[in-house]
Amino acid sequence: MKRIVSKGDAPYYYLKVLLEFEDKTMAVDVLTFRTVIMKAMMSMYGEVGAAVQIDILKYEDKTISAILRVAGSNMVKLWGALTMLSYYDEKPCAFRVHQVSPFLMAFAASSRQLLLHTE
Amino acid sequence: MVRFKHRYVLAELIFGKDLLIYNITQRVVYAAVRDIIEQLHGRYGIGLITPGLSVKYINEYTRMVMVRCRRENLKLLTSAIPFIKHLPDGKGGQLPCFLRTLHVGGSIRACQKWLVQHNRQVLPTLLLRCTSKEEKSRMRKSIFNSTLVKEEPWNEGKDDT
Amino acid sequence: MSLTLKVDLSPPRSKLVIEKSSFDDEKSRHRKNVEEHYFNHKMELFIPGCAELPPSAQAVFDMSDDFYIIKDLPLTELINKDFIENFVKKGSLYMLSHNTHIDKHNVYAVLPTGKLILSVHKDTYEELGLVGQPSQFNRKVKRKFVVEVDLTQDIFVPGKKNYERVKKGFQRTELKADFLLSWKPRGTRQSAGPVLSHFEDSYRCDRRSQVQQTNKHTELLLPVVNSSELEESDDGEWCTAREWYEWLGAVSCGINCNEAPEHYISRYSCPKPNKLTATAVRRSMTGFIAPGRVWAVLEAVRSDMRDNQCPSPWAALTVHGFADSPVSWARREHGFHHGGENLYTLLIFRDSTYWLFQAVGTNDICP
Repeated sequence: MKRIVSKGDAPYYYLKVLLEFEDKTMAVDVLTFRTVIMKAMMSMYGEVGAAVQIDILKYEDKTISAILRVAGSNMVKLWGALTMLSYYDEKPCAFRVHQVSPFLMAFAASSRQLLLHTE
Repeated sequence: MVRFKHRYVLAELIFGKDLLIYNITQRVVYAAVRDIIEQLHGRYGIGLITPGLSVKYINEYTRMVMVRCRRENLKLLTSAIPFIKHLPDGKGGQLPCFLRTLHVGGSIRACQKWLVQHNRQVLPTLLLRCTSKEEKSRMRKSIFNSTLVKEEPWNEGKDDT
Repeated sequence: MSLTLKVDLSPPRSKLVIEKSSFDDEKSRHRKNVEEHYFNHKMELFIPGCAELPPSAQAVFDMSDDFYIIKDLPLTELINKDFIENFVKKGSLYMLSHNTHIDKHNVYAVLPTGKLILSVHKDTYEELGLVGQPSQFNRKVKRKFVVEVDLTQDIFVPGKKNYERVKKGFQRTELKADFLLSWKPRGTRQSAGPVLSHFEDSYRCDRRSQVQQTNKHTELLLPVVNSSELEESDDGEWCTAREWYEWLGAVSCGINCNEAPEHYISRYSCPKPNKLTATAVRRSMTGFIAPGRVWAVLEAVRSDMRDNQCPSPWAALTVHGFADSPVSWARREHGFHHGGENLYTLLIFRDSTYWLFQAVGTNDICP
């Protein structure tokens, strides 16, 4: 029997985010989405921030939502930059961060979304 | 005593042609430092660096500048300074220029002391550059004076030029 | 003037425990781990190399095992004499308040051991007048308190001081919540019907069954793992346990990791070395799942692997807990901070060794 316990900072963090434009009909492809994130990092953390490696693991262009992966040390920066974003290309928009976790597996289920109603 | 701890960064302005005198003011250097921080570290960097940032001393002749910042943000400043590539020359143009960090001190006094020492060491190199005999003898005299007399460091620093 | 310029950019802490052991080992904790993780929200079985689930695992998934939701149930009902005698003491009762967020609301749970756990705010705690402990996670600002009531104690009966005190407290505060409920009578193969009829007359109850989902993968790259080695090998012959875990997460989230897109978008791809498998099946079940069901699935998968029913090198069983449950494993306190993950994955190998991954978030005690 062998046991490995890793406490503290995880190597990667994952964020489940949704980009919302005021204009609901906006079509955003994955490259534009990546650019929006980069611009957000650029204005908040400058060139140093824009250079942070962010992986878009999964992207759905219907809902403009994605699962992002970022190194643990840059997670707070990314989250902050996404929160502060308010315009892209002079169009008002906002990021909604739905779930944050150091384990990708945690996104497979979200018990808070389990809503049961009795008739 | 509780106080804000600062760090003073002593840097040398290096232009292409080093014997000309440029009219660089503290305001210009301050703006340049702020701009480069904004470019590299964005609004977050500006927010960190602005409180406590000031250009305390500039010498047009020796081309020395002393920039003050909060101690916590020293790394932010020293890592951004080398990226400055231009300074406005006051006539709407850009002067190619960069800053070479020479010393980091905890107080203005400590930096002045170091500066005096540094200037003394630089004098002999200036001697080598002299072309005429008259210049050389004036230079020698100046070196002689500065190494012997122990006066107020502040005045001495200015006389070196 | 106070200006703190120190900005803390470190991410919240988390814990991941990876354990390698064998089912045959007497000291193995796998049974305890499954049974003590009381409130399970989702269970997912992933078997590579098969197009269909092996028969006995399939049977366990198909078995009907309903849970109930009871609306606006006052807590006084939980200390009702009949209720304790007929249900708490005569089986494993799992109850968890529903739609209550542990970082915002009061949360209540009944464990199968007969403990009623209340995670309440300071105001409620003071009004309640019961003895409890401040929550482990905000010790400085005591915002939440955990109160434990042992329902199965012999002296916990009407007329006794402690009982009356609890009852008065519940009546005074008028605490109520929607509850998820699952009950397994001990011994007999009786159904959970009586528990529903107990509440049906006075409260709105609803019977629910778990939502089942099957996903099939074709042409999937599988990372190569070595059942006896969790760490990286010197010459890269197998993947580390952590890489594998991230990969399984990617599969569960429906991320295509067979080929990496251009670097600007993502640099993630299936860890190397890997092997192509023609088919893989992933079956999941979402709802309120009792640990007994998880255990049954685990047993079924193990027997299928022993009987060589499927040609897969391994099988992975992942169980997600409720983000807002007041306990994670046994009576270890659980909280919500950025995320309330408390989940475990069992990677079952053919040679009866297994890897157990236990992942918890910031406000959790290391399992």
